[in-house]
Amino acid sequence: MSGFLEARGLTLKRGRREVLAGLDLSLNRGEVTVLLGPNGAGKSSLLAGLCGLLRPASGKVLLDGEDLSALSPAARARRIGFLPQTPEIAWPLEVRILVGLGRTPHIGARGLSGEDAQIIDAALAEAGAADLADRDASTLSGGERARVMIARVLAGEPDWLLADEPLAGLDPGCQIDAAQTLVRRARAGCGVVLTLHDLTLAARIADRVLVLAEGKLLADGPPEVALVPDVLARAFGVRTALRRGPEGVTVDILGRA
Amino acid sequence: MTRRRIVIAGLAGLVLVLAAASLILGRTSLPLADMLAHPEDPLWAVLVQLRLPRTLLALLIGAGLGLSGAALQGFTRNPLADPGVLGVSSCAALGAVLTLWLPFAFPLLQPLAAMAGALAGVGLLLGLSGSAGSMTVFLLAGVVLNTIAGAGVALALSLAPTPWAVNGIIDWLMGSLADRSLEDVTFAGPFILVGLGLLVLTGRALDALTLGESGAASLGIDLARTRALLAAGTALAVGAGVAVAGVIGFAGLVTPHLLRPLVGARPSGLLWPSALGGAAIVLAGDLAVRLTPSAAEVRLGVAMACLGGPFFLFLLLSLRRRLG
Repeated sequence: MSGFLEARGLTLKRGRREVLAGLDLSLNRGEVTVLLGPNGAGKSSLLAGLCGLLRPASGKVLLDGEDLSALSPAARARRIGFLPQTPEIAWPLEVRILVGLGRTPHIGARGLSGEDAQIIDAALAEAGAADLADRDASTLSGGERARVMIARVLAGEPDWLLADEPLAGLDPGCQIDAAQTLVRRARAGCGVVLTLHDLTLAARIADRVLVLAEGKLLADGPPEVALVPDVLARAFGVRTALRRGPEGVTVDILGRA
Repeated sequence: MTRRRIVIAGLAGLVLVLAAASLILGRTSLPLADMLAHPEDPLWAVLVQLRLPRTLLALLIGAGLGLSGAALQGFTRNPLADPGVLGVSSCAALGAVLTLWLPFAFPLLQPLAAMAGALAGVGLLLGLSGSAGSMTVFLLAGVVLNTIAGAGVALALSLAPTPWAVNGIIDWLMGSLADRSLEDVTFAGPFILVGLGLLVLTGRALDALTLGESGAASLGIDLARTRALLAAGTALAVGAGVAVAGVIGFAGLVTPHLLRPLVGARPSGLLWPSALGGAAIVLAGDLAVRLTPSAAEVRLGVAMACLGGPFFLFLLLSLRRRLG
């Protein structure tokens, strides 16, 4: 249940451009951590760095104290699941087969076993996509597609689930469903790290919020600490007001700072 | 799964029937019943020396084209990918043609040069298109390769040192399986088989690539290894085929398309069926050019292009809706 994903002096580059400079960070399993920041702040790069897809220009990423780059790609993929932004589905595969791709790092030369099939069905059910199992994935609506892609990453049974804007483009109902699925996984002991743009949604689901701007960490803490007007003004250049109600925190955006 | 097995069994049966027909039928059909009764019948020489190499080469080359087409389409997530369309075959032909200017020659020179050409072609293709995975960039890279290799071969043709060289170049340009020897089979066969083996190893990575490059990488797929396997496998399978039979287009494009509705779109599930399907298509095409009553035999590469061109057009029309 306990476990850490850490960045130590992590510097990431896209081409020659430095997108993240000397970041120190320690994330805990069992928590929902939300990464916020303006477009181009380095959120996606940080996620890619934390799951080992983007090599650090300097510094390192540690998984339970072990250097991530020392793990084989398959060993890394068994422990860290990643959902890219706007996930691609290139071929009209049956949804069950697509979700089964999440088992890739676990299966040997023999292919999917009966146990794998059970895990795939459980992942489909957990993501609320059981009724889609026999559909052609290329015919799914945006909301259905998001559920299927979340089922795909759940099927890998990762210790860490990193998702880049998993709720973008979804209607409010679908956003709540998808967010709840991810929160449930965190409560079951998985470390969940997401990027979001919706500040109120972030305030409602996050145990911890990281605000990034220009490759640096502006704030790190529970929503009521990180999502304060001063931080949001510096990160996004907007004036905001925080309201606490019975449903939780709401962030009102009042205008440009 | 069972459906896929039925299709594979059916394709294997079809390949066997076509291979048998390819041995027996031709301008002179062999009376197999009589021949079996007379083991010293001189017609056996026709069967072993003339027909057998042709059948084996059609099988091997067809399997190589079908499998490399399926693997290239899977890797690029692009249903228009094919070693011919993307210029890999032309690069192999250019490699073979350039050996005519070398001051030395040895038996394996042309297959090796063709494979080197094909490898350079795949390498340039993957390099030019980068990791963007854009269908447009990939096809444009293919157009560029085809243009460069085509210009090189045309230049070679106009500067050909001897009339014999002109004929040789035309042979490579317009593929044919006529008058091949068992020696050709022993040259090309092992390379094609190794190429097939390398390409089949990409199956799981190709499946994961359905989720895009970052999706596949996050599942623990080593993309550099996949790219290397694909490049080496295609270079061996296509290059060795071009060295002995010239450019035979479209089998790699057509085969996966015909099979997707039957076995599903999963890239790994398409690999073996495409090898069998490619073998069947090239065997059938070669039988067709042999049995067509014309003064001179139509070259197989030309016949395949005549069939493949309209298919390409049909594919473009059906893809236009999706791309638009």
